[in-house]
Amino acid sequence: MLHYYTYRLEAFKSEIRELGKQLEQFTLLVSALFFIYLPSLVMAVFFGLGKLVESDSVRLTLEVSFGFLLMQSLLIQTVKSAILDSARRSYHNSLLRNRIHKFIADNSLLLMCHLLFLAACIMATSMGWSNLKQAPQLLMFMTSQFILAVIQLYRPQIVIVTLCVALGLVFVVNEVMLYFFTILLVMIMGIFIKPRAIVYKVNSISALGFWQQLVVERPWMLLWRLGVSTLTYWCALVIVTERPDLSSYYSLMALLFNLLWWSSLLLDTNRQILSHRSFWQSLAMLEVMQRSQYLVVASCCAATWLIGVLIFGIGLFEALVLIATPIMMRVIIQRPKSIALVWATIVVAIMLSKVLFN
Amino acid sequence: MISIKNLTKVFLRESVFNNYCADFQAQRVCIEAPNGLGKSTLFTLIAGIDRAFHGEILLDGKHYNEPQSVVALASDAIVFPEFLTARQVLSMTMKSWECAMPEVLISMLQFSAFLDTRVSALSSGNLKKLQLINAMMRNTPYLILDEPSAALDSKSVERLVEYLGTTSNQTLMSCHDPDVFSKIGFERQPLFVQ
Repeated sequence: MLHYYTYRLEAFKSEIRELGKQLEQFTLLVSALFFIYLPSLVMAVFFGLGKLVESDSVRLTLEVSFGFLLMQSLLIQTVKSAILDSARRSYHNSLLRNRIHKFIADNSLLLMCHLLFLAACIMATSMGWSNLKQAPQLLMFMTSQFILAVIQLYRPQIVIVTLCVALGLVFVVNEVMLYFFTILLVMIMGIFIKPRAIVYKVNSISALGFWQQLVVERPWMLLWRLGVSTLTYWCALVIVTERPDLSSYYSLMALLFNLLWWSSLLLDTNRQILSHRSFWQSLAMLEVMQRSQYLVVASCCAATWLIGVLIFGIGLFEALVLIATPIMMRVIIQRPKSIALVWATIVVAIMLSKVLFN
Repeated sequence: MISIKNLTKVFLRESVFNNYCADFQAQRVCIEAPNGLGKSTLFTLIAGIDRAFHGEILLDGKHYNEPQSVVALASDAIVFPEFLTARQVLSMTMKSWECAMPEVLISMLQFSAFLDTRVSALSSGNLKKLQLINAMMRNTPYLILDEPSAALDSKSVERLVEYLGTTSNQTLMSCHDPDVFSKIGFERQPLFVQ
């Protein structure tokens, strides 16, 4: 069966390379912009894990745990099709007599790219067994991390349920171990309950009805943005609490990141228009669809900007972020490849103006 | 009558039509040409689906800014959103062109059972039926069918021929097996005159 495992590894590497190419420009610009913060980002992961091991506040431990679980779900979703080799899944069955090899290959590849779980493993190893026994919550957290990741491969609906429960529990549970036990229980129950497909069809299909149906069929398109926006605002809130003197800069940065996440929704909506251009043209609806996608995306950008402003407060530069939204949207439609460059330019322009004129 | 005057269409520097002129006068025309010579491209141009061309396309001597309002096209070139059901696709056409749900066509082509099936899950035969229903339901003065019998079972082809025999609009089609359509008056016309 070695040939099968070799194939899976090659397929995984090839898809990761493809993903890397797609994100190349964006990664390069973000790295260039936030170069000095990159080591801090790695440190922040271990700092967060440290809060899990030892913290005076149960609430903070639970918040950090939820933040990690949400972040891992977002990261794994990005590489999920590479891990499973989804496009050629039926081909695997033609090679195998036993499904166990498929399962082993899936989970080995999952472990290879589950960076937050690997970070927790490094933390646990460096602590040593005697110290680890003093912090059983770390082991429970790692178990939750691993099971949630495996479930994400095969029962993605349960991940959403688990994350919703995990978020709710942050506000009601006062015991860390109880928190993890409940999450594990939800996940284990989810494994044994067969998911029921939710069939929702929009009765009257119009331009907005089409976008509504698209969200129902491809909820991930909104879910990852909701998740990453939550993480962005939450991280900014933590930093702002720690460093109130820099709060106006970090909150502005959070709004700018939010602009990037939500304006990029146009990439998804515009793909629907371009790939079915002839269909819309045949219905004389091409212009209506183009206008309606602007409306949908602008509404999402404005709503999440408003949430940010309600959390952090509003000022001239925060308002500028909202004004920059149509520019970003225009660029995404006209030159989607320049999205990262234009966003970086907006970030530099607004931050520089703030430094110079504030 | 459909008239094409000095049509030039280029795909990535490759010319498909270069000052092409043609008149399709008969009420039912079957355009003949080997694969890849531009039949489907011509259909999308006549139907107003593709506007990137030079030249003139006249429908009964009249130029239309929105030809799709009078021309209905059934073709693989119109890609339906794969996550919509067949019923949803048809309901969009109903709304856009203010026409009724084509119950007769649906039952004629035995498509009722697949109305709530997603486009992505339709077989090639059923996808062709959806294309045909979606175009024919509009009762436009001009109807264009690109390979209407491809992937259809023989019973459905028979029913389609029977239906087309009763229509009064001008119908253009491409078909590699035109004999079956000849009996209801489809005249063969080559795409390019030698």
